[in-house]
Amino acid sequence: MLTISHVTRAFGSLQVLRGVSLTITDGEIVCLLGPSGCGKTTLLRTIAGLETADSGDIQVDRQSIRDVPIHERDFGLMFQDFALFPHMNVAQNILFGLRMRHMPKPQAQQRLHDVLELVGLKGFEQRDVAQLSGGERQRVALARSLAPSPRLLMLDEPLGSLDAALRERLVVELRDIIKRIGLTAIYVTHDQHEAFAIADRIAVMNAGQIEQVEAPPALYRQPKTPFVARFLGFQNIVPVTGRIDGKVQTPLGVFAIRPHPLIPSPPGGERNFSGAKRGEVSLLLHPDGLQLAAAGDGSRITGIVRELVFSGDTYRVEIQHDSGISLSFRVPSREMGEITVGETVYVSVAEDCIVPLVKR
Amino acid sequence: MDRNRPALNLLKGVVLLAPLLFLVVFFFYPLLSIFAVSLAPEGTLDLSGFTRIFTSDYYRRTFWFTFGQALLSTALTIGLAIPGAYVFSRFSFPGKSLLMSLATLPFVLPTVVVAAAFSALIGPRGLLNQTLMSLLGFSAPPIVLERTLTIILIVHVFYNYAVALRIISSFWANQSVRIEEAARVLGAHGWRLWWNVRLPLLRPALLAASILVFIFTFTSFGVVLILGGPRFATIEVEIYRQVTSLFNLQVAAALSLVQIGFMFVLMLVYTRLQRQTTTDLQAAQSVVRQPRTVRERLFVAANVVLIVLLLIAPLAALVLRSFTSQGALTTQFYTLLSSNPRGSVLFTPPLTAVGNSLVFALATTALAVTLGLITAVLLSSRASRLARWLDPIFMLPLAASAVTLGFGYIIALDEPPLNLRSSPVLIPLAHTLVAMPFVVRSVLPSIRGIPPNVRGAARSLGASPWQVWRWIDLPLISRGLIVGATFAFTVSMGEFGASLFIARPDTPTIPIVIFRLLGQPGATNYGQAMAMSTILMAVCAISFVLIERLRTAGVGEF
Repeated sequence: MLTISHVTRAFGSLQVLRGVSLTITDGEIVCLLGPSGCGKTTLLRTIAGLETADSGDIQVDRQSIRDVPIHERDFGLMFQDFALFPHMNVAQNILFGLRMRHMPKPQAQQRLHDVLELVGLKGFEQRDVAQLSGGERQRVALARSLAPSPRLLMLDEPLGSLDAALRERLVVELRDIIKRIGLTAIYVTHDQHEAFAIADRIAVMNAGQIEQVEAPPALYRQPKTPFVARFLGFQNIVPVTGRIDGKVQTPLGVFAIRPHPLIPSPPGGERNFSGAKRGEVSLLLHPDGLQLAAAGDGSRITGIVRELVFSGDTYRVEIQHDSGISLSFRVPSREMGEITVGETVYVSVAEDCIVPLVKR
Repeated sequence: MDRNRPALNLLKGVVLLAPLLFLVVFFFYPLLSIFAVSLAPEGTLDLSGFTRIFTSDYYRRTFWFTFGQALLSTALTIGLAIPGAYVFSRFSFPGKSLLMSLATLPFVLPTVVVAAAFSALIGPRGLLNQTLMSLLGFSAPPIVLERTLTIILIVHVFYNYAVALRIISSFWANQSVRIEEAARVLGAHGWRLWWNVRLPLLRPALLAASILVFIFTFTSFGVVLILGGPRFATIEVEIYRQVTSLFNLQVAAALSLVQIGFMFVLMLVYTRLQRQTTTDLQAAQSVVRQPRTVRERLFVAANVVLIVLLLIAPLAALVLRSFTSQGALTTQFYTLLSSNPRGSVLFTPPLTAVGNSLVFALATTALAVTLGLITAVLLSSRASRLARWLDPIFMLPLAASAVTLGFGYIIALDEPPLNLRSSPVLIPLAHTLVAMPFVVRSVLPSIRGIPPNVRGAARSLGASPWQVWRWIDLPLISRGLIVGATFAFTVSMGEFGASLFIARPDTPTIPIVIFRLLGQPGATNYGQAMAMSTILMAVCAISFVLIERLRTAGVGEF
């Protein structure tokens, strides 16, 4: 439905978008995830028409929208601050888009009624927007952008200004509403949990580029770059120093990995992996696959316990290997034995949780 | 977004340039004419005007008087306003907000009205002297303040007390009481609390208020001209005298130039400081409480009494004096306003001046609002790098005094290419220059206050740029626009300095009629001056109420 190709944008000398390409299919919710300053909001604003791309193209149904002014793009846009019109009540806010399209009154009233029901705000028509709670404002903003039945809904951190508990509830509701009307949507956030909950696919952005596009479970299991892994909160990243017999060598020992297109087999056995590119490839030891193991058990990592943090259902355990590398993982509280800080422990690594990372 | 409509963009450009064009023709051109007259009256460089004003004792005295009275007025005003500001920012008491509003009223009162009010209270023909004479049998007015420095200072304090009070108390109210509490816990109390904590914290506000008051009193014109008598003259008054009685344009131009230079420096310092005080302001919790101890109550009461005496008594005296003749209540001065007795100094009945003033004020309002609105839109568009340059330029008319402006009009606009000397449009043009900065300042915050994404939201909902302006911007700035319009109207109604130069004898404005009446002997002329002043004060007071209402209500809604 929407095709973004090689879009670039610079503000002065600052390159905010460095050739972004992304395709979104009909009825899909795609999430742009990344830290602040990664260009996700600029990309959204460029799609909306609030910014102009320096180069590249954006197409809707194979029609370029480069020269279509914002108000003729027929997109819905929802802002983090909701941007409700302060001089209008709830009904006037929602009717604004319909008025601009000269929709006949009875039809517009029907639509108003429908969207208010959809977002669960029946009876709020005459309320002053200044008197609404944060959650109610968010719903009014959603209703306002849904009312003109846009081809594409864009949401710029729509839950960013709400508290965590409310956010968790509303994100589910939001996905439910968008899916119910079968809308195509782009959702911008810096919160991975929000992204996991709402998106069909997540595009992780870094420094004006898309690092990886993936469905949420696959993204979580198999991050492809060190940036994505770190952004998702994974810390157990170890450098790859060489390669022996189809296995990779790290300071923690030798690990077997599945064939990876970006890690070519070097010609001729036990040689350094690649002198020039050393550090470019690393391994993520996914914390989900780390477990405390009994002593003397074969291919294990040995380390000294540095930190034990109790957080209810789990403990977070951090161990340090002889090489100085630290690994962190969670252990269910009831499986924790009598471990103390400073003790030497053994950790096993599940084979499918050894994820190769290649720096872009 | 309108790349494809060059004609529309051209029109937009022309509209956006209109305020700049206006400024060039009706501000910079007269100003340059002053430069020309002072530096090269005959076309060749001739600095004799400057040598005269810098070598003569007379002008040196004028400089020193201008500077000295401004310094004294500022010190007095700030000294009185600090305790007042403390009371307003720390204590709550009945009638507080009403008192604050009343205290601000002088700001919109024309100098002529204020001069008349003080004359009505403590002048030789004023209420106090008349009462004392009839009660105690004095043969001459016992209180002689007219034509003294004292009355000039009192009136300057009257004018500027509220300005200082507002700046200082709002700064104070926004400052956390916690800092003071911390200082208290650390052992500061009494005068050490004032000297080491309160005043240093207040410094930005004190400086800003001082400079503003200094600017106002340095260029004081009407007050000194009417109440000071021939003995006293600020630079401003001297310019007027040099032009109108001595026809010494070169000296007047040189004086104007010196004053413009000085004002410009002060304005620069002020805008710098103002930026500082506004960024320093953080929304802090302030604790306003009722005065508890006897000392606190006395402190509050003393300040309230001061405000009432200083600010309200003269205005009350003015109204009273306009309705009394030889101890009896009468409305004769008001009825006399519509007649034109033989031998009057005026060519028309005084009441026609009300009509003139209204017409001029309405024209000024229309022009100032149009140009001011365009200017504000121009300045608020962050994209235009021009805006940063233009902002101070549009404030310049405030730095050049009204008298300078009027003088500039006389020497610049009375010959081709622009011969408007005999045209009555000169007055609204001059008034617009003075009023435009007020409009810009009233509208700009509400334009800048529109949440950034609101326009984008409207665009994405299908509104064209014009529709966004019509349905979003315009309703949201309407309050600011009305405030600006009211300001423009009030400024025009009360403008004195420039009008005195350029008003035609047959189309005088209210302040000019009052000035002429005050300069005449006779109880009837005096009474009529009081009546006219009362009318003007009422108009300004009503405008002021409107401004206050809309401004405070606006804060709550946006």
